[in-house]
Amino acid sequence: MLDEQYSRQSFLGGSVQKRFQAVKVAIIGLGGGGSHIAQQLAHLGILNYVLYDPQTIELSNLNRMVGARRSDVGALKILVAQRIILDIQPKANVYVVADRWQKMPELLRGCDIIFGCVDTFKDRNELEASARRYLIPYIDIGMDIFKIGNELPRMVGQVILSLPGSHCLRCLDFITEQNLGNEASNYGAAGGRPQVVWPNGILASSAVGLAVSMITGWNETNNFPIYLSYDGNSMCVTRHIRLDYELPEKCEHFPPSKVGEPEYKNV
Amino acid sequence: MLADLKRSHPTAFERVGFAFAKQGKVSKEEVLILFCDYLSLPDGCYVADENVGAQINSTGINMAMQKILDEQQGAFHVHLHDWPGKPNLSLTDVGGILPLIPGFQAVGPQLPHGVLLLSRDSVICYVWLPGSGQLLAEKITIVGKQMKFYA
Repeated sequence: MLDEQYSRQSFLGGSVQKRFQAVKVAIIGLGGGGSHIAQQLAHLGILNYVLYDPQTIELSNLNRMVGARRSDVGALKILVAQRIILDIQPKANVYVVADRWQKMPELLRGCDIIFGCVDTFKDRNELEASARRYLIPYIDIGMDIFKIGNELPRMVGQVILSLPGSHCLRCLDFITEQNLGNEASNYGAAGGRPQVVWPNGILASSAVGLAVSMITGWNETNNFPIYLSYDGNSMCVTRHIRLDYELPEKCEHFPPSKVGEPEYKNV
Repeated sequence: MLADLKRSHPTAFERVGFAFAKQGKVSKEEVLILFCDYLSLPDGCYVADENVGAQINSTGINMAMQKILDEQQGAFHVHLHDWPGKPNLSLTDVGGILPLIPGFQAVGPQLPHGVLLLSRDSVICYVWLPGSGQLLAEKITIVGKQMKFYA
């Protein structure tokens, strides 16, 4: 029965289901992007999960959160994601944390891949730093919709792989002191940002495809670093233009000396 | 690491090296060993001995111990059994490698040390955590463009 369940993905390799069973993934943020990722990983046969999200489902989440029902309004997002996974994989180990990941970071350290579906540069910055300390590949997804003057709304997004030993989000100029500063100065700005289901699905699918490529090597891609740019207006996912320009030879932001538990010194 | 171990040596039949690691904690029962550096031994660190694949001299061992002290990273003796399948320590390995561990523990008592044994398609890792006896790693993950998992 197992063989039949996965017969259509056998091209991924002979021992692919064993690999999927061995992998432990963390998903930070189980809203519009994270719910898609959880669902797709469960379909693939991934059995070990750590899910972090302190938020509950609001009516305004139902336009994009995969698997959420109207009756789930008020429920924790992680519990809905857990239900999605267990409906597909009843034997999955799904550890849920109804809090920010920073409150229980130890669980992250035992994961093989971290999917970051967080909203802010600050969160990404902290998450990537923690992933690098424990040599865990971090896949970041995100999208934004904005409007300038009378122009049509612009929909953009990204999928970035931060691989230990390779270029990080700062090397790729995705995280800069300027955008961290701008974000901090806008802290507390009221109102939810526009979000819709299909770009979340496209970005999440790209992130899952990237993870499958890394786990199985089925397509033998050597197209690293990975920085994908999504233009929702033209409906295209392309290699980000930043990669056309010179990158630092190696990442100076996360040297090997910064691997492992952080050290604190009295000053 | 693998490329270094596969290089031929003027006198020895095989090469050895030292991987360096830090320890991370996941839970009370689960510990991470994070490999972040590798020491390739120069040709002059080998002793000519036809009875074993490779034997290293005190200079090679001192280099590893100095690195433990300087960088506060645990040392893992690394060598390759150049055939497929899950590797296992031979009697020669047990007699020649395991006596290194107390020396490593003497310079880095708070660090994990051990033995990393590779084959063509597998790997095992014996670990001595601070204050514990010999343990066999339950899962080994190779992080990279293509991830590999060994249990």
